[in-house]
Amino acid sequence: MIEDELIVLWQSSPKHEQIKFEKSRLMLEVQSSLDRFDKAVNRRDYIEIGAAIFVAIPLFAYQIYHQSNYVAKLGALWIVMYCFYVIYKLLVAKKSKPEESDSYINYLKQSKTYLERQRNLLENIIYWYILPSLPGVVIMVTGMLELYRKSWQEIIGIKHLWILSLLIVVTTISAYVINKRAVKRQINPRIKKLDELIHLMENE
Amino acid sequence: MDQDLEGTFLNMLDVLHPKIFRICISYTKNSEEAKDLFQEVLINIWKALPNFKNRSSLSTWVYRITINVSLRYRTNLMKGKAKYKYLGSIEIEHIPAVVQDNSNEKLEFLRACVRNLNEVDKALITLFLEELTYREIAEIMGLKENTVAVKIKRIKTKLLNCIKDKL
Repeated sequence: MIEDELIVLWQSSPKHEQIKFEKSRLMLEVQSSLDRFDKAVNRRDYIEIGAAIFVAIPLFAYQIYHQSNYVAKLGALWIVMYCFYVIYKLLVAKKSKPEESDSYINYLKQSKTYLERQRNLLENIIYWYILPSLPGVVIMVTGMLELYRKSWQEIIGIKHLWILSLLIVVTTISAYVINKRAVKRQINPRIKKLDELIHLMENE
Repeated sequence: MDQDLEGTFLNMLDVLHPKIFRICISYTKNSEEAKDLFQEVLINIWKALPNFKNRSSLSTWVYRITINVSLRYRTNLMKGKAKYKYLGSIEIEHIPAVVQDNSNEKLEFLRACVRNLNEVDKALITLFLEELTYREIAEIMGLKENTVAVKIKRIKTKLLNCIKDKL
């Protein structure tokens, strides 16, 4: 078989496989499908960032005003600032999505950069998401319960502090394990695949 | 909806849809799956069309999107991106293939051989089989023309050997 035959054969679609479309309906469907897609993406953003903007920030901003204890006010302020920091981190991570209209090699490289950023975000969740919130929680609780006026024996005897500490430890460990697993199962295999393709493009 | 954009999109579709669909077939297991990918390609083209800058020809730009979306579809690079409800306006013509002639069998062999190639080789050879020039392929892939020529020569040999083995 020669090259021309190969091309003719490739372009000879069997009849039962030919694709048909109704132009008038197609445009409406493509547009509405795109709108739905944009809404789905926006909904995800609203959940992640909206929770911080509409729940956590107003709640703790109110605590700055409401709490009579200055240490508790300071803790609430810390948490408000922490929420802004988390929003910033999420927005930065959303950037750098690969452009489908770019060349293949650039698309591969952009996809790799995007996935590496996602991996970085998930792997370091303890450092940017969990640990920075702890000083705020500790300061606020210290202020609200006036722990600095109590002896160690009294502090150890507060049942709610034990529950809170346990909750923090469980959340931290769960977040670490879940995200590590996501990186291992979902992101690393994709980065490996991209590395292989970039290698094929550049070296063979 | 912008009438100019709509016109450009539909005209492009008139000319390129068989080619786009053939590329989709090489990235999927069967024609139904190819239809899903085809729809996803169309939606991505429509989404990106307002940003088309005339820096390359419209067809080159469309092929770029087709190849990149096909890669994403196959390697699941962006988790959760395919959230489109599929379009009822697109159908594959269901005429029963009563007589399985020799050329159909050969075509299936060719497709099987193309599917077995790695993703890069598959992208290069499908563009070549769609009769794009080396310059156009180089532009789509982001490679030098000479590199494209060398790679395609190697892939063609691989493909011909594969078909010979199957026939």
